[in-house]
Amino acid sequence: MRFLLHRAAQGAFVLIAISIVGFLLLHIAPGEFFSEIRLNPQIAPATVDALRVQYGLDRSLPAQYGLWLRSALRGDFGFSFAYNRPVSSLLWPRVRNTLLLNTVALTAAWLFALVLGAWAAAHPKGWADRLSAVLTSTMLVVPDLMFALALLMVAVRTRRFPAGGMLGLEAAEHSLWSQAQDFSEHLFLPVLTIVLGVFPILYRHVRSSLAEALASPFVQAARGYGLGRNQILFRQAFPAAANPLISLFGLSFGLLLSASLLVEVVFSWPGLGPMLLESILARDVYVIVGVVLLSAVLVIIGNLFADVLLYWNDPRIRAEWQ
Amino acid sequence: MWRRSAPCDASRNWDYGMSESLLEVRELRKTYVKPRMFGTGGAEVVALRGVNVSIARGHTLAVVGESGSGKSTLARCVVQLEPATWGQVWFAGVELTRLPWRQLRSFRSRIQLVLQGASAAINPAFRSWEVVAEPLQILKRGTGAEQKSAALECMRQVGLPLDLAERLPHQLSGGQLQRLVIARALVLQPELLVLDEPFTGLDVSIQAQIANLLLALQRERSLTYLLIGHGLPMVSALADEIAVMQGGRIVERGAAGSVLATPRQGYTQCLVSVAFGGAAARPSAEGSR
Amino acid sequence: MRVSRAIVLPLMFLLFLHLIVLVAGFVTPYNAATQFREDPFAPPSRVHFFDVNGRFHLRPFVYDWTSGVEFAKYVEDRNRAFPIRFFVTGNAYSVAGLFRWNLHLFGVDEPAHLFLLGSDGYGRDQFSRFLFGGQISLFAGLLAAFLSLSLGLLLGAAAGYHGGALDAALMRTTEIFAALPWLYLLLALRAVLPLGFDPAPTFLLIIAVIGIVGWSRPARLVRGIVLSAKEHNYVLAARGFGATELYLLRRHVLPQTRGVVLTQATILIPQYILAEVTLSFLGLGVAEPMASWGNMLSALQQYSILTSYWWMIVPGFLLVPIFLSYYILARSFESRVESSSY
Repeated sequence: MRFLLHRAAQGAFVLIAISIVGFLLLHIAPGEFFSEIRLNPQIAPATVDALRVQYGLDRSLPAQYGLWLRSALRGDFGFSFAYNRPVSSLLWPRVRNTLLLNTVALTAAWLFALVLGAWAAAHPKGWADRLSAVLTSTMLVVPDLMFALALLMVAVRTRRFPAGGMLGLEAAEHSLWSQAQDFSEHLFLPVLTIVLGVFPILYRHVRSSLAEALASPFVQAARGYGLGRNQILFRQAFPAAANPLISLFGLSFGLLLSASLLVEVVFSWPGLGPMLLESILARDVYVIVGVVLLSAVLVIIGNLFADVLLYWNDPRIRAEWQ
Repeated sequence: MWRRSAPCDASRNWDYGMSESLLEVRELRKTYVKPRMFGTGGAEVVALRGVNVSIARGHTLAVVGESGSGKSTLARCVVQLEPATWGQVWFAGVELTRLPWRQLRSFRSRIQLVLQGASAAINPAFRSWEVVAEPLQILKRGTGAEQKSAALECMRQVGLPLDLAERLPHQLSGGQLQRLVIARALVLQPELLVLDEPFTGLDVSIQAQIANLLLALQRERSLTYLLIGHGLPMVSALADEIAVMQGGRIVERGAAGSVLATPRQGYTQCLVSVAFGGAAARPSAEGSR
Repeated sequence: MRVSRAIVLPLMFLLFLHLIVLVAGFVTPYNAATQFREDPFAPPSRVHFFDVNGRFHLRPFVYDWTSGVEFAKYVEDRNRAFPIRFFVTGNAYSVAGLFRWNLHLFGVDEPAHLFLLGSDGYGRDQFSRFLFGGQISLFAGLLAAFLSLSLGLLLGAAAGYHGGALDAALMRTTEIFAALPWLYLLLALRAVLPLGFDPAPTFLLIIAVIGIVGWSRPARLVRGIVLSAKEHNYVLAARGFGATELYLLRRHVLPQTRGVVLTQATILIPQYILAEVTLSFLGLGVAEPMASWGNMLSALQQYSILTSYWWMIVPGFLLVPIFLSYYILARSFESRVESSSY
């Protein structure tokens, strides 16, 4: 338990640091953002004045940060100038969509990586191992962007898949089942693209960790006792290989978020990615900070989850923290 | 790391000049903090609890004891690689523990330490002759060509064939590596050699070769040796005096012959019986001298 | 260092590519911004050796594209053949920013155009834009990687060698960088900088941003190596001979980082090329009319272009051999470093 608290405290520290840096950077040229925004005819001057008061734009920088921090802790991340709405109301649906996309992609990528990696490690130099090696090398070498564009082209040409977006236009009017179908049709290509980008990295690490574990002396000893192959794999090799893989699991959250940003933009999936892009082009300050912080929160939560798994799996870490 | 902190007992104002000891260690104590793997702080380890030894010029003192008795720490403190927590080290009438870094440098060439584990003590990217020449390069003595020829000469003296000069360390055998680190220690023409476990990890026949080499070198160059080891047999062949270390202090000391023949301390008795099987006589080293 | 084929071949390819791209002005028939408004979305010119009568010509030739009333529907005009000439004079271009020249490696006479990779919506030759875009994308990758590696080496070595507060500060900072997904971090940093479109400062800014995003991994790796290297017995031995800390760093510690730095270079450079391409694709990199592989691909976000004009996506696939080369180099270096690690 102390371990978790320690890690959570580290995460909180990192978040605060990021928010401070983000806040500072966005105010480095103090006049720039807000003068541009004031010139924007779409924003009522009343809004600008109300904001000045609320965020103390006339006060000193630390005071501004303090105000912002207090609102942020309450869930209020500021105001979007481009959309004329509070940032939180914009971001929560986007976070949900990004999470949906990423969780499905994460599960799929790891499932494939674990199954294929284990098979390849158990049958080294077999046809599955060599084929997978070639395929994953090819996948590693083709950039994510190209996968996305190519699959998009397939979608548009064959008309089998929707070419973007999350739900069809008349989705709300149909039954739950057809809504689910519609949703998964829209989900398929983006998930496939992310998996194509991330799977080869995961596969390589799974395979090498498992191969190393299988070649280690204590597994050889187990074989000498006549333990069956599956038993060896699951009871001996996996737990030994688990540590680096759990760390990789934590890292994969960040990897996936980056991959999904691009995929969301190309496939018009309404997640955090397109939001970030729009807000940058529109100089929508609070949205930018909010999105960046949320992405860090997601990564940190993912890492915490991985830390819990690590704690649960490795008795050495348990011993140290008790 | 090189800040000189040299505590010493000022009340002990011994008149040093009379003794013929080349090296004298007085009440050497060393405590260090073993850092914990995770988190800060750590356990305090007392490695040396007041060690007193002296070696006369041209003689060999062997310090034996089990692992963890503080032998390597003693070696490092004597050579001033680590600052002692307490005590003094005198060399040729000069108190090394008090010297500032710059002046210590000139003494460095007179005392050399041969570290335990030859292969770890050599940079694997250096060629053999570069390994031996490095002390000259560090102290900037002579030109490049002079340094190389001095290195080659030392290699010849320790019995390394010259065609090994351009080889990389991983191409040399354990015995050759041990000779290489001895050559490196000799290139500065020291008076005192501290050898930390020179025989550990070598075949018995190679051990004998190294022992013979050390004896020959001692004769030729009038060297004084401080030998550290945990195996009695080889060490006893070279030593004039043996000191037994246990738990950071010297528990028995005397001339080699008498210590081996009639060990007084229980621990020494164990060592001797393990090494020589019962109260066997010390193997005659007279013939090899 | 024994050079194996696994290193020589990719290296030669990459060198060749970088050289060609450097002299893009000469190699390409047109400049990156030259527009031929009458030929939007022209397909790649078909190079013929046999004419309508079936006669073989040694010198290849093309026909001009003519379009009817429909937009971007082309037919070859077989009435007149335009042979491909070599060493022709064409648009002026500047050589390394020093002087202007107008000799091109090959071209065809007006009014035909030689579109080896087709043309885009403004009638700009994609082949030319590809090579000019390579100047931006490839060298952005190289320079950003250089920046990252220098930062990482400096900070990692300092932290690993001195330890203490410096080391702790470095580790905390790398944790902060690691907490953000790299693309989010990249975009966030880009957001801070002005979106103004002067090409030269933008290019440098982008390099700086990309380089800063990725310094933490090399730094941690270098720090790890320095931490273990300084504990080796041969460092202790050299200290025993009276070596200064600077000597130890120079002769014993830093040389051990060579392997890691090289391997990281082969990993980072393609990542950074991709970072520049992504930035430009999203509209946050170099701006029109300068060509970058990213902004060449960004037109493809429109479905109509994606499906009707297949040649527009080819520049993206030409990235694959580049990444493959770096990948092969990375694998060879990795296995070398592992086998020689001490």
